[in-house]
Amino acid sequence: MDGLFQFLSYSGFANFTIGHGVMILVGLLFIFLAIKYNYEPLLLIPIGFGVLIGNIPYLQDSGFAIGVYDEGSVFRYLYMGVLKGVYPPLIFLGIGAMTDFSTLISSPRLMLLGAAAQVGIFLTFLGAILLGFNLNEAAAIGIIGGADGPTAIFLSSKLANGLNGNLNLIGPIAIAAYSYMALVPVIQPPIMKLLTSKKERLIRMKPPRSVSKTEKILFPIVGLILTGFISPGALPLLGMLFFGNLLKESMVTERLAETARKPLIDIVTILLGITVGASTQADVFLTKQSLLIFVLGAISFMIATAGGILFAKVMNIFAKADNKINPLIGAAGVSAVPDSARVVQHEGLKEDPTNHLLMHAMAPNVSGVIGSAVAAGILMSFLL
Amino acid sequence: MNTELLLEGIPIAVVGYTIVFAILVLLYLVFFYLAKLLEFQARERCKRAGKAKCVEGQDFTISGEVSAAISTALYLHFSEMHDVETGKLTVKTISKRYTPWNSKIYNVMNRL
Repeated sequence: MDGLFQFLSYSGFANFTIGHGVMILVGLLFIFLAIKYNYEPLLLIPIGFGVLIGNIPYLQDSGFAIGVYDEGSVFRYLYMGVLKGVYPPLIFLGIGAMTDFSTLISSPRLMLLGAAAQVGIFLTFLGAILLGFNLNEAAAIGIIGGADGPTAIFLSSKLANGLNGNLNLIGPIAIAAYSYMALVPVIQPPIMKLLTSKKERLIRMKPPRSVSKTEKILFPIVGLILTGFISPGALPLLGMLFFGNLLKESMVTERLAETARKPLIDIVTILLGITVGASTQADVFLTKQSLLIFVLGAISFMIATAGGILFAKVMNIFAKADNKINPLIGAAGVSAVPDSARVVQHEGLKEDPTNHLLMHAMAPNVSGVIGSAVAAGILMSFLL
Repeated sequence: MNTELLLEGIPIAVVGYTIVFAILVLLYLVFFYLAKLLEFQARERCKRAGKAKCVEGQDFTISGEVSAAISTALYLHFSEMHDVETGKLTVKTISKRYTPWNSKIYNVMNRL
C-alpha cells in the first residue's frame, strides 16, 4: 500500500499547481497558433511542446533528474547548448548558407535601415534599467528588439544566465523573442500604417541590379573582416553567418552549404526549441520579471519597427525624386527573417497589387541580422 | 529607479548604437564603391575587346528584372525539354538469352 501512495505522490496529479496549468495552456496556445495560423511553426511547435514537457509536474526532490534544471538529466545536457551559447552560432551558420545577400549588395544604402531599426535594442536597454534590472539583465532584455531569437539566446546566455548575481532570464527572453517574431504579422502592420501616408506606401522602387559572383563572394569576407575587427564579441554569430554564406556563394562547397542550410539547422532548431520550451518551468518562469520582459520586449519590437520606417522617411528627404525608398521596407530592418519582409510585401500589395516590395525589403531584413548581432557583440564587450 | 545604473547605461547605449550604425555605414560605403570599381574594370575590359555597348554613360549593368526574365526563360526551356517527344515508340525488344532457368527441356528432364 505504501508503494501505491508513493507512486501517487510522484505522479503529475499530486504535484500539479495553477502555474503548471497556466504554462501548459501557453504551450498549447503556441502549438495552436503554429498549426492553425501557420505562425512560425518551425519554432512554435518545438517550443510549445517543450513548454508542455517542462511543465508536467513531478516531485522536485525525488532524485529522478528529469527537468532542464536537474543536475544529470537528459534535458539538462541538451540545454547545455543553450546555456553555453552553442546552438545560436550553428543556427547562424545555417542562416548564412540559405541567405542571398544580392539585394543588399545591389542597394547598399538599404543597410542603413537595418542599422536604424536597432534603436529598439538600446532604448529598451535603458527602459529595463529604469524598471530595476541591472546592466547585464537590461542588455539581454534589450536585444529582444533585434527580433532575432538566436541572438537573444546567445546574449542572455552570456549576460543573464543566473551567474555572477544576475537573474537567469534565458527562458523568458527566448520565449518573448520567438513569440514576437511569430507575431510580426500582427504587431507591425498597425505601426506601418500609422507612420506612413498612402502616397508613401505607393512609392515604387527601382528594381535592383544584378550582382556579380565576385561581389557575392567578397561580401562575407569583407563583412567578416569589418564587423569582426570592430566588434569581436559578435564573432561567434557573424563569423558563422558569413562562413555559411561563403559556403553558399563560393559554389564549390555545395555539399557543406546544403548540410548547413538543411539537416544541421533543422537538428539545432529542434534541440533549441524543445530545450528553450522545457526551460519555462512554472516555478522559474512565472515571475514578475518575466511579465516585465514581455512588456519590454513588445515595446522594443515596436520601437525597432518605427525606427526603421522613420529612418526611411528621413533618407527620402535626401534621395533623388526617381530613387525614393518606400518607407514600408524600413519595418523589415528588424531581423525577423524573412517574416518582416513578407509583411512588408503583403502591406505593399494591399495598397498597390502590382508593387512588389519583397526583394527590396530583404535588404534591410538581412542587414538587421548583421546589425543585431553586432549590437549583441558590442553589449557583451561593454558588460562582460 | 537606479539613477547610478542609468547614468552608466546611457553612454553604453549611445556609443553602442553609434558603433552599430558606423559598421553598417562602413559596409555600405565599401560595397557602394566596390560596385563602381568592378563596373569600371568590366567597362575597361569591354573597351579593350572593342565592343560597342561599353560607351561611357550607357547603362552597363543588367537589371535584376532582366536577369530574372532570362533565368525564368532558361528554367522553362530546360524543364520543358523533356516534354518534346520524338513520336517514336521506344519499347525495345530484348533478346531472350538462353538460361537454364527458362529452359523447358531442363525442367522436363530434371537434369539440373
